[in-house]
Amino acid sequence: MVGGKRSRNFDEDDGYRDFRPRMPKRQRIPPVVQLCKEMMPDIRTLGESIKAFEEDIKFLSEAIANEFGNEEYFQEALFKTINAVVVEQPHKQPAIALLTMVVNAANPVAGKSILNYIFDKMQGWCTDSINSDLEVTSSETGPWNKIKLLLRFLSLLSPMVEEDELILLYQRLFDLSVNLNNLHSEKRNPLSEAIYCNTLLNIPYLFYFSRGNESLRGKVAELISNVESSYVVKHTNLSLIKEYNTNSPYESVQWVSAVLPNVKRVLANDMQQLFELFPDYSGMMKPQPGNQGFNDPLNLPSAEQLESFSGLDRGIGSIDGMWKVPRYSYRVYLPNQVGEFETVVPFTTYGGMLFEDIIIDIVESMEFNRKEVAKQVVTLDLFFKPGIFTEPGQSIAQLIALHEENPIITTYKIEDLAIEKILSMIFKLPTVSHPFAYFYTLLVEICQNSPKAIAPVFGRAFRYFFNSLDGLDLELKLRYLDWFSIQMSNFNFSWKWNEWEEESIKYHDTFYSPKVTFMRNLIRKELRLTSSRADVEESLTDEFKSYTDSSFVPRSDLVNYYQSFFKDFQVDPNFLKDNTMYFTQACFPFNELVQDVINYFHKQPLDRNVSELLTIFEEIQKTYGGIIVDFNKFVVTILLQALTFSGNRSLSHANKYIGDSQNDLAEIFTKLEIDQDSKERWIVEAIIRYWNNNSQNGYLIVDTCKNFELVSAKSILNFSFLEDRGRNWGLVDATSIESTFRTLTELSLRRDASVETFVFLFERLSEIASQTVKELGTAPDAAVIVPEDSGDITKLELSWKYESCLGFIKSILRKYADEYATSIDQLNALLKEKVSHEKTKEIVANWLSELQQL
Amino acid sequence: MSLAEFDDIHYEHSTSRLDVPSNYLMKKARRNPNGLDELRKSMRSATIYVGNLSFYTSEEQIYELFSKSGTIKRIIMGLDRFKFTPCGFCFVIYTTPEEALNAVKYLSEMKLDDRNISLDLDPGFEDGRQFGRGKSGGQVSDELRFEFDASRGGFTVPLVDRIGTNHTHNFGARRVRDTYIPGQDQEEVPEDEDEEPDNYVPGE
Repeated sequence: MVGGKRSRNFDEDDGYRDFRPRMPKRQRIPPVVQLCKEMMPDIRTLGESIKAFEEDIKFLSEAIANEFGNEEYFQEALFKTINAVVVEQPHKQPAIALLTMVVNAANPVAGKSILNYIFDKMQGWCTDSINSDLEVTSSETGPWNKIKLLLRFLSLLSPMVEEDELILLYQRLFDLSVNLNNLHSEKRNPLSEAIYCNTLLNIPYLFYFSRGNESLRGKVAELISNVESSYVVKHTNLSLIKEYNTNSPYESVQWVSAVLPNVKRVLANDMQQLFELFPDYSGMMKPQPGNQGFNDPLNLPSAEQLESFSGLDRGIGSIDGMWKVPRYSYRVYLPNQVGEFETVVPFTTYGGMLFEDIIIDIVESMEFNRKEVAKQVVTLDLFFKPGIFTEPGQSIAQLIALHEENPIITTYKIEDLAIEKILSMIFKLPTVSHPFAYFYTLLVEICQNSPKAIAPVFGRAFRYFFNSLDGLDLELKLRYLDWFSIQMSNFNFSWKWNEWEEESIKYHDTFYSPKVTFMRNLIRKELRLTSSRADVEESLTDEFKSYTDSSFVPRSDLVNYYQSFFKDFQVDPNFLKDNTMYFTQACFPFNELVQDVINYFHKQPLDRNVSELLTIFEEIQKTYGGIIVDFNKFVVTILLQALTFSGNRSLSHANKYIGDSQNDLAEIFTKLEIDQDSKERWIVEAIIRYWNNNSQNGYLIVDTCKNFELVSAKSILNFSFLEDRGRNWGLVDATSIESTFRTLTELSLRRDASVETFVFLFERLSEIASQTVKELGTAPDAAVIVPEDSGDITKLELSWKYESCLGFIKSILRKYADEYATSIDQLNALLKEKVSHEKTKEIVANWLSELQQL
Repeated sequence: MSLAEFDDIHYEHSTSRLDVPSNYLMKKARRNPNGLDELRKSMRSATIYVGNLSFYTSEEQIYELFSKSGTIKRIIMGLDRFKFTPCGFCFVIYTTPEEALNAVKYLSEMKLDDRNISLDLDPGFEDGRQFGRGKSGGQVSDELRFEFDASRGGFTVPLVDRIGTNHTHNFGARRVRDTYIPGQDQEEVPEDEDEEPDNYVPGE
């Protein structure tokens, strides 16, 4: 052999330039996989570029028509991709339908396969709808929502499908909804409403590509008149799920009552409204033989089979679940706030309802990629006829000017529309479909993509909610607070605080004012979200500087608390400092002994014996017992404050110290011979007072104590709703309210939990409400109304307190309906016993009667 | 190596998922014989890794943000292994794996203390992992960083080792192999260090 080229050692040959690729050899992927990798993303993004749309349709359809039938892999990938776009991005359905039909013209086998794949998917969901073992992922919207979207796609394909087969699908779904509705003549059937609304909403799509089809029009008209005469719309009014307790800024519209009039209107007048909504793609359409059919008839479950599923409360999909309670449209951007015009397409038009439906579909079904959702929802207008919306990013000022100049010009803003619908999901009662984090960060994402256009839209929402705070549901106030603070922390805490100064000046000193409470809680929350206090402080105007004092109780109360331990000894307020333990201050008579307690906790658990602690306390009692009012209380407080102080570096530290000392504490507590309730109350109080400057930490450490069974859930609630000279922190302080919900939620997640704690809170709140209404002196049959612009602050405070208390009752009844529903008789009895005010009794009794429907 | 289901091309969705292992995790798994197992574990561990934190961010702040996507069982702050101070990362352990995946989906790249935090799945916390693995005790990534970052300890690589002021030739390599170890090469510092102008301009 000559030289052996192959055996040449490249590494040692210094003069040799090495051209070997540095990358390891790439695995070659099969050409069909490569093709799919390139083609499927194009299908997913079809229509996003209007300019390229026509070409995309042409190239993609040619490729599909040619490639179809060659490789199984390609077909699978294509089917799955089409299905994914149809159910996840419904606004792209017309584009996909157009593509399918152009393919169908060139390759009818391919067309028929796509059609039947979608039909089979629909059949699959019909079967799944009565599968009680169906497991779903977080992005699942539910079988009935999927059926809606697949039916919509099939309707779009009307030119290529046998008309009668399509109409038959509608007919059968309507029949099913009527049958379900008639199962009980009085009671509302959630599934029936869902099918009825979903199916009606799809009808106009039959005409998307069949605008002039007279015979179809005739059949649809008959279909609609049949369903109109046979479907009885049931009006339900559940006050527990109302977003506003009082003074709702708008009249909410129920889906089930609005859908039929909307559809009829859009089809009237030769479908003029419809053609203003849907773009005309007829130029790209290819002639269709129109004779494709489904391989099998649809096998739809019967009303009887579905009855046990028809409550839609089994958690088999986010959007299906929304029908569990009557579905309303939710409004944020009302006309008149800015000018005499709407910026969101009204829900009482087909377009408005459809946009809401599509946005909710996108947001719910693509929750696994909030970035994509953020992009799609604000570019929705590209998929509808141009001219429905104003130019993106137009300011309200510009709109007002334009509107004055030309009153018939459109004032609908796509940003307003998208954000209003997302907010409607955040502010959905009784439950939210995903963790709040999703919606909050989705909104942050949208704002980050185009801050200039979106920030003012958020600003208007913030103002709207602020102005309607007085009547807003308690849970929604918390969600508003959360959203606002997250948004602020992502955008440098900048907010025009001067707008709210007036409110603060007026009611700064009040305890229960909803607006002042909100601002106070907001600023404290902002402070908890940053390690740079200055960022928050600098964003505030002078009026609000005092709000950065995050004390849970005022300083004077704190002094009184520490003074209450002693007789013949004066607590020096100057030595009450944040993050230190008062009892170890140099001025304190036996600070060294308290320091010994701390030192004890600093020792490794194995190196210490609880007798050391007992000796210290004996010493204290012997020498200083004379100045201590209640020695037991003092011991409990010292122990817990010493542990809290030792663990003040972080929650984990606190957790560790308390966990390590769990047994020591138990041993000492048994020796003290004190009743459980007082002991637990002292424990909670010791911790909350230690963390007076950061009650969130305090409450989280109390949670730790609960986990180690040092305190019960009930003692935490009992402490939170203690009343002190008319002040009740549990009703106003966000950290306390959050702790209450956290505690109850944790209890409700335990399967075997008794409902005692829930009943206790109901009782406590009823007492507070009753006491407050007594102090107000409201007539027994009159509702408490917050006086507007009253100079009588005491009266104002009392009526605010009454409203927060009632709002709290409403929230816990709704949120923990399952728990409360088991003891309705007991609750009614308590209500009778604790509340004498007739009107209050009536309101709460009505809520109790609604519990079964949640 | 091939990473089975993690290497598959999916057509079930119309867009990518955010709750998948990051490229970093994938690369690491490819080099590791047990990589596939690790990846699978990370989908079920209920643990997430949070990076790019400011050294000043507290556990309570992390709680405030991360509790919005689930119930937190434990937060483990990443510490400098010599100084025991936070060094810019942490682990958050949720009660269920779904909550951890939710956090990755919903909270990645959110701002905390004005920094975009990075989130990744994690196969599960083990003792020892709370410490920085860099030579100086902090995170390795900080030792490869040349830019000034006030909330992550300023310059981690001292003046002399930074590109542009270095006397040894490294031909413009962005990566210096010998990272700085405090106290070890003090004597090598040229005497005229103080006079040496800092001609490194971030971003240039």
